[in-house]
Amino acid sequence: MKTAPDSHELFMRQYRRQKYKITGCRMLLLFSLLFLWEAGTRSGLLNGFIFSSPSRIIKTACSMIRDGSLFQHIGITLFETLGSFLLITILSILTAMLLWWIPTLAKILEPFFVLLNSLPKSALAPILIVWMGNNMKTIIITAISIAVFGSIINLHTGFIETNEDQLKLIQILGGNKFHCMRYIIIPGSIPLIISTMKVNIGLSLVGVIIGEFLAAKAGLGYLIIYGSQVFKLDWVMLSIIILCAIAMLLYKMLSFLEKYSLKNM
Amino acid sequence: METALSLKDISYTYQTLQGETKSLEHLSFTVAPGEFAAIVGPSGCGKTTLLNIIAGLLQDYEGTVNVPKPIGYMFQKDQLLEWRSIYKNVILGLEIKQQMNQENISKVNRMLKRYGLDEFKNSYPRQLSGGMRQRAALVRTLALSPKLLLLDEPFSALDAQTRIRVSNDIGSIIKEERMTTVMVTHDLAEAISMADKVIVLSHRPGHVIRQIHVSFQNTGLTPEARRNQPEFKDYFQEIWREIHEDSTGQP
Repeated sequence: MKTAPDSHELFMRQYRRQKYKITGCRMLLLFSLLFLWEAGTRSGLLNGFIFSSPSRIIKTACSMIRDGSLFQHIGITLFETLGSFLLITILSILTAMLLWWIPTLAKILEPFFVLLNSLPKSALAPILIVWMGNNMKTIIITAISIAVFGSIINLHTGFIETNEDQLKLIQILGGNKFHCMRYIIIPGSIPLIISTMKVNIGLSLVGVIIGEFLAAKAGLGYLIIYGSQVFKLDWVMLSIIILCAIAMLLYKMLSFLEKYSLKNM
Repeated sequence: METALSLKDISYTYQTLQGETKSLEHLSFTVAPGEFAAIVGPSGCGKTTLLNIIAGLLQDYEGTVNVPKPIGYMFQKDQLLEWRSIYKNVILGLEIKQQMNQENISKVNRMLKRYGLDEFKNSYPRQLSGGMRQRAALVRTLALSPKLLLLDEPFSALDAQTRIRVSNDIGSIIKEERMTTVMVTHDLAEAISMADKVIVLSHRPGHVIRQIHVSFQNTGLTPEARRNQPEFKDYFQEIWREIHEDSTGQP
């Protein structure tokens, strides 16, 4: 007698097959784009001098790895990104806590935060250079200015939307405002804080690159601007590809943190 | 007669931008030690305002309130914190009041064991049924040894079947602990099945129109058993008539 396969096993097999299919198609798409790019420049359809090509990028990467300059640029950009990300996170959590603590202050400052948040921050960068000089401080402040106001608004909105009854519970159990913060507001907002961090890590990278465009002697943003000025488009393309990788990596890092913290809740 | 809780001539008006609304007017009643009082009335009669005044959350009322301290309060939803284990939820009050001594901890452990939550100590609220969650919320409330227990429609978030079972559960525990209790509800059957005394409030501004002592020939019945007694129906009709007459203005 033929035994029918376990129906759950069948379902799992189908699920896995579907997953492999999607991963396979993604790879296929990526490699065919790379292939078309390479083939285009080799056949002369695209001008390799201004479009660069995968093989030229790899060659450039190898030579820059050999002289160590590539890691220097990546290191500086990463350092600036993580530094401004940390500062944004700490600053926005502390400010949002202060605004929750003093509602009148929050009401007074609200239009200012909304204004600062919707202002295109790249407009501030030239002023920052004049004020603080052509250095890393300017770059980090630019990155902070891009993300911090939106982050404060987000977190504060989350804090004040906390369930009223939970705050009442703390009051009835004999707690004060500090206890509300410690037992309800902060632990209850962990998912919000992490999702805000996910947005901020991307914005930090954007801010750092803008900053490096204007005020830097090293870093991937500097490499892009410098490369385009001296027509070394291989540098530009290489930097962009590395930026893609960094963005992905940082986002994955936070997704991992999110999964970890939700599991331990 | 000895009283645990007394309210005398309580009036309360709340202010909004649209004007002021009189919520309670010259409201008085007392509750004896160990007595279970249920407050019923039409919606919007200021029941929750009244509980907030007793709980000390509203200060600007007129009249005199004598409340034994500390008080315990149970909400419409259990308000267990999803990010804390059941045990951590239950000791929340002790942690805040910094009363985490050996005596209190063993008291909490005893209650968890007695009310069937012992094996869920390290579980999280979302892993528990609605009834178990309400029991955990009750243990959290009782952990601080309150002299007065306030219940604000504590079962209204549960579905109809669970509701009867849980009110039976909670009602029995309260009897067992001999707590002085004030429960606000809009469910008359729930009030009659659990309370020693039903206080009927008028529509807004709320005042007491009738106090009905609930006594069954068969004493010591559980809330669920009370529902099957012949007197139950009579009490129900009596209270229903009071509320109905008040809202229509005619007998």
